[in-house]
Amino acid sequence: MGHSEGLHRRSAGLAGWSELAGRRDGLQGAAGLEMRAMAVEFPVVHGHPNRLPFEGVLTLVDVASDKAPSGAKGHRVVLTHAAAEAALPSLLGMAVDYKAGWDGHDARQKCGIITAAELDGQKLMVAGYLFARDFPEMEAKIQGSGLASNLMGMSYELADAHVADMRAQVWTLTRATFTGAAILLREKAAYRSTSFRVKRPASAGRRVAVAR
Amino acid sequence: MEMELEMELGSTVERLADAAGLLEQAVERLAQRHNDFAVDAEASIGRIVATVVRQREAELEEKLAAAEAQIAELKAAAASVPAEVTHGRKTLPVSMVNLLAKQGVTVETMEAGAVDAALVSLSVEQRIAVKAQLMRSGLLG
Repeated sequence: MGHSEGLHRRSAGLAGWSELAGRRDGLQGAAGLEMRAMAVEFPVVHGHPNRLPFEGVLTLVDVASDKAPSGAKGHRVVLTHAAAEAALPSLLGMAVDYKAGWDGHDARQKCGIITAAELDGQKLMVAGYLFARDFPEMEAKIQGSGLASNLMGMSYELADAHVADMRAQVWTLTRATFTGAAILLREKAAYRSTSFRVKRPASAGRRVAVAR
Repeated sequence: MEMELEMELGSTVERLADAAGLLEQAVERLAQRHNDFAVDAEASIGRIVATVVRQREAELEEKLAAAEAQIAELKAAAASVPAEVTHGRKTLPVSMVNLLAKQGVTVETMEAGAVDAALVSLSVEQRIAVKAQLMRSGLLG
């Protein structure tokens, strides 16, 4: 989970870059790996009872899903890096939801918000806040009783996805709009390599700025 | 003799010209089909959710689609049935009335939009059953 931890950590480290908040930023990594990130900056509210920071890997790009996602008519899908990058702005401000049983989406049970997104190689990482006061069962279940954080993953929700070739065995999504995300059991996600974890409440009020 | 040969040659050339014309038309049709096929190959999908498709869910979605197609057919067929055949009779089993009542829909106020909205919380199986029953009863036009 070190990779997703980085999104918040790097955000905090770059808190002074507030002028970049809300903008997309592309930076060249030390190893020559280019990363793209976007974030919205929230005002700091120390000890906010209803903000519980989370981080996760929402999906992988340029990698075929392990299973066919719902709505893809039985096809596994590949979200291209270019499509994901173009869709990053649509991800910010979208909600995360969860479903009883942790096995899918319940778009009407919005329990948090995505405030930052970043493409790090093949990983599309997101960070944001859960509404901890409104959904007290979330933290308890994810951190406590039985559902270890390494079992949890994420799932995206896309609208208007453009499929390059409908006849292809694996659909290539060349354009899409993110409309939300869900927290669920990793085994229920079409991408098994997603992840999700909540962070310590102590860091709840930390500023989230653009990061790479 | 020479004249016969000339006529035969002329006829052959004519047939070849016709064949060439047909071939040209065929090529044009093939090119058109290829273009149509290429356009069909690219499409936009309304909604994709990156959760694993459950087999049962997929089957039920297929059943729902089939049921909706059947409903459309029945609607079309019903349009040709004279009113005196049904005598305006609209009845619904008590269990269905109760199920709808739980979703906040009464038979008196029933309309397609309200029914769809009310059925959202039901499982796909239940939705199929309710819609089919409403159609059979003539309550849903």
